[in-house]
Amino acid sequence: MRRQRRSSATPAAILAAGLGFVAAGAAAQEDYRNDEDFSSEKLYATGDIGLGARAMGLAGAYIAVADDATALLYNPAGLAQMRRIEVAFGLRHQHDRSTHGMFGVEAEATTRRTGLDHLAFAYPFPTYRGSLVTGIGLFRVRSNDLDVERHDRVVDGSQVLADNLFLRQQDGGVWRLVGGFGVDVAEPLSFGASLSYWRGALEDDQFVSIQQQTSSGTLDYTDRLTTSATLDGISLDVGLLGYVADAGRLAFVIHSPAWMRVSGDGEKVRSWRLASMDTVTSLFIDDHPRLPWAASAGGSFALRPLLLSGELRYTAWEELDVDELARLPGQPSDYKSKLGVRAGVELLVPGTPMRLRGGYAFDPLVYDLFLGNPARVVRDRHVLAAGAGLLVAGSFALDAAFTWDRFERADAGFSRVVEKRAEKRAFLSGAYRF
Amino acid sequence: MRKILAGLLPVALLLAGCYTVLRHPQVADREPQEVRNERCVACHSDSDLDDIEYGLHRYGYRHGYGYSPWERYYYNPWWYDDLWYWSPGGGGVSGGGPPAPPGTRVQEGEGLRNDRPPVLRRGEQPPRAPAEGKGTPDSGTQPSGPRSGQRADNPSPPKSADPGKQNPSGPESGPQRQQEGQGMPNDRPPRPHP
Repeated sequence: MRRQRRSSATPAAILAAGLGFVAAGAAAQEDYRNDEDFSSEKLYATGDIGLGARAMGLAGAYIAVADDATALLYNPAGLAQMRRIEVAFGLRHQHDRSTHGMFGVEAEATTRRTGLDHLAFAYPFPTYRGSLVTGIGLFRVRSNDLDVERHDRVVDGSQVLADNLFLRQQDGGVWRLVGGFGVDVAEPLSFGASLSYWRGALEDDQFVSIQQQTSSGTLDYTDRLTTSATLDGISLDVGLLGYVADAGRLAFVIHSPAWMRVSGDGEKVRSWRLASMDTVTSLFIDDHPRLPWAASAGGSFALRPLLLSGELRYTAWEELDVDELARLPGQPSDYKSKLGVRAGVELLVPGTPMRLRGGYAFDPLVYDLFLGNPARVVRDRHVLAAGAGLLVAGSFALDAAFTWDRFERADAGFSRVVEKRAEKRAFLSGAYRF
Repeated sequence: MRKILAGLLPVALLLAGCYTVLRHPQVADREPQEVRNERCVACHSDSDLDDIEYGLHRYGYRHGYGYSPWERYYYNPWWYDDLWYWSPGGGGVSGGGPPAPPGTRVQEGEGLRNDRPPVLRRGEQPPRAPAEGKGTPDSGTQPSGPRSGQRADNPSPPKSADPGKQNPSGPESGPQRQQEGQGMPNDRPPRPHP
């Protein structure tokens, strides 16, 4: 399926674009790219899921805190703050709900998944002076689980003009296996680096049933498209963490591009019910997307009993390189590089081993298209976060967090073509320090 | 971007070699067995230790979380148990150890765990365990005070006979610092005396 960019479109064309996939060609084999899988822009345009309950309780404003094993992802330099061996795990519940409205017809797509968020281990080497800490972790950075159901029925009096059904189910996710270290390079400065190996899988099953009266006759067919794909990739993160007057931290992190390869195969079957005829097309997938680089800068300050944290993150979305997105000279990118903001506060409840957190993040939408057409942002993504942590027996930290956000987009030319998305995530993390 | 990343790494590693030190430097004019497993404060003053950054100082949000239940979770290196407290006098906190005069510093750990093994000279016998009384192991510590003493929390040594002036802040500020718990759970058991 090729994404097309148009400056104008008819309602019928927009509806057609929303069908999910186009009519099968006569060719027995064709290159296929799934607009919903991890090779597509939609993967990246849905923002960071976030990891770790403590970090997410601060709305992800964590690069200048990062004093646990999740520093592997947030800021590997933060590992150098660790003085004890840590084994950490995390669970995450994700519930995303998208509602697409097209001229009064609505469809809903939901992602609901509960599972492992991360497993991580950090080992501080004994030092005479300074710090050297290594770590390794497995982080689930995306859930591809998706269920979509849409039923379009158009009736004129007693006559059914259209009775269309769209079903889609996706299963899979993307993981990052991250190894890294943090080391004191000077008394007030730590450096860290981590290398990530990305691995993902996606099983996609789409079904469309079309029964529609047109001026030229009756359309009556079903399409079934199944694909199976895997993803491999690699990326590098480097970070600095400076210590200012014991209670302050300044951090800077560079995330390299992520070089990926998506490969797989599939099959598309169109069945013409009236003619009792099937058309079968084999599909192959071979994409080499490259996620853009990003840079973050932030600071934190401990003002007993408060910990304040904030950061800015710039992501060069215009440099996103996806095979399908070859542009004509002078044609602007469908993505816009954006600057996000995150801030969080943590309160150590006096006299108790409990910490309370709250945070806010502005994670702007970066993708300019909606169903292939220019889109406008009605409500940008603002994330609210809350969380709490408890220390058990002096060695086991248990944290929980909840984040909530929503955004809304619309077709630039048709205000009745809209997408509303609400994202809720709950995190539970535990870390034992030996 | 790649050039920046490629350049940062070796530079940082080079600098790291200048600051982070894994092992205690060999002391030329000391017998090896004197250095091995010796407590830092046996040779260094507290101000020395501050300069050395003995792995205890600075890490974590000390000012934010000091004197909290999170203290040990964040600040105590797993390999270092050279902890001490100000004796309240009358013994007791160290179990079977001899009573320590009030205001003196009493060791409870056994120093660094990653010190180099002794380099034995020709014909030299392996070192014996330190004599009892030089820093009492913490096997017999008993709860008594509001919290444990730790060098990182109070890097200043007593400057006078009145230890209460040494640590004016915190709930344990008073004439004596006392041991609260049983030391670090990862403390080694007391070494059997030969």
